[in-house]
Amino acid sequence: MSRVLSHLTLTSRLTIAVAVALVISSIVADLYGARLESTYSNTVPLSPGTSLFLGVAGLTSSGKVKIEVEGASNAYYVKLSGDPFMLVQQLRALNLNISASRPQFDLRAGVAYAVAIIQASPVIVQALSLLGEVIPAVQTGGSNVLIEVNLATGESVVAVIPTALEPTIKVNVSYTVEGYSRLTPLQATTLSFTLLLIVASLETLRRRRSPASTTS
Amino acid sequence: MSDTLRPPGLDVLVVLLATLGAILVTIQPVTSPLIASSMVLEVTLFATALFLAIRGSAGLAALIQSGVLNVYLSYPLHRVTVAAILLVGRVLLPSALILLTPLVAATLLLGPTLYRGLDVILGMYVAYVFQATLYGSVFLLIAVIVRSQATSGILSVAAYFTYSALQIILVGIGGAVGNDTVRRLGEALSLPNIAYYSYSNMDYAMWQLALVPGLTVVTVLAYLTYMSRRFEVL
Repeated sequence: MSRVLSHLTLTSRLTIAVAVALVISSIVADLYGARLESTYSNTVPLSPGTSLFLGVAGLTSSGKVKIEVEGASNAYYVKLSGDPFMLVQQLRALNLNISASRPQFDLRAGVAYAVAIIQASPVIVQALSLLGEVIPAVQTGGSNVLIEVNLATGESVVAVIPTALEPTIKVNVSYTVEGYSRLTPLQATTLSFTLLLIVASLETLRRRRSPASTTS
Repeated sequence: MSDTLRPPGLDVLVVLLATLGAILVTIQPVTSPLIASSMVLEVTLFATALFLAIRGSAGLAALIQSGVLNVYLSYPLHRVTVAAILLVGRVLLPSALILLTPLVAATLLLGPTLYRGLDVILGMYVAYVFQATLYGSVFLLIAVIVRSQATSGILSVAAYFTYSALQIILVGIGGAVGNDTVRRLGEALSLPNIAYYSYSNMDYAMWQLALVPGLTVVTVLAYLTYMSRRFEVL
């Protein structure tokens, strides 16, 4: 291999490296790569005087978040440009009693979810207003509310359900990645062959011009 | 120059880095050119630093030990010219090429997702090349001072890890004692960090942006001065 490579120019060697990388990585990406859809659902018991906090963070991707809440008459949300899970620590510093679940990461969709139960209904909505514009969710039925929001990379949405109509609240979150595309294995292989063809043509031309030249 | 970039070492390295870098940005849907370029270049910088320690520093020490550098210095060229050629051939060019290959592979693979941010990708690439050049110029300085192949390789790797650990320590200490200058100094030891802050519209100071380029200029001048005035052939 070394002898063959030593006859090629540096540019040709690096182009071959890119061509090989494209084929392998596109196959791996096709098998184990990013997904463009992600869902999360959770059923949380909510007693009177407590609020539900739900955070959805676009870690590496941008996309559309749709949060459906069953068992609540109203909900509010705010968009943040940082880590929403830090908010839990900030609220704890205000001496609010919070029980937070471990964040759930969906690496293949580049998104993370977390819920927390907070004991202090009115205070939590006021606390959110310090972070940004608090927007009320859309009511879609008697005890159902809907939140739809677009997230850029690094942005997150924090939804608060201050009061429950039923003993348990069910949240369904769907996240659709937007603005992402990659080459399919077929496209990557075609591109690789094109690159290899260009390398072969240029190397042939170079040798015809100067037969004595071997290395860069 | 051909000694540093000769096959198959460089070829195997860039194939692996380009493949792994491209896989890194496809196992999750990275839609930000800034995040994609950082993910690819961060791991590549680590491999580049080790490559520079072995091929740049230890390789130059081998030239000194074998007497080849004596031959170079006997040419009718100024010592600074020879030193500058060694710097370009053993540090600047390898750094630029090793960092470029995985970035090109990832950009081609993600296609339109990254094309809209080519200026950001280029800016991050320049930041990483500067960082690698700082490491490489320190490694060359070590090589011409110790003039031993094994020692210069070991000391270069040690210098790289010391520098990397220092960033974490300064940021940690600065955060722990509430000293903002110390924390910012730790952050500024990595130019890619500050470039990331800059492109993300996060808070940074201009001196943070200038620290690594400044350190690079000082190290390169120290290396050129040492080579022209104090370096003695074996």
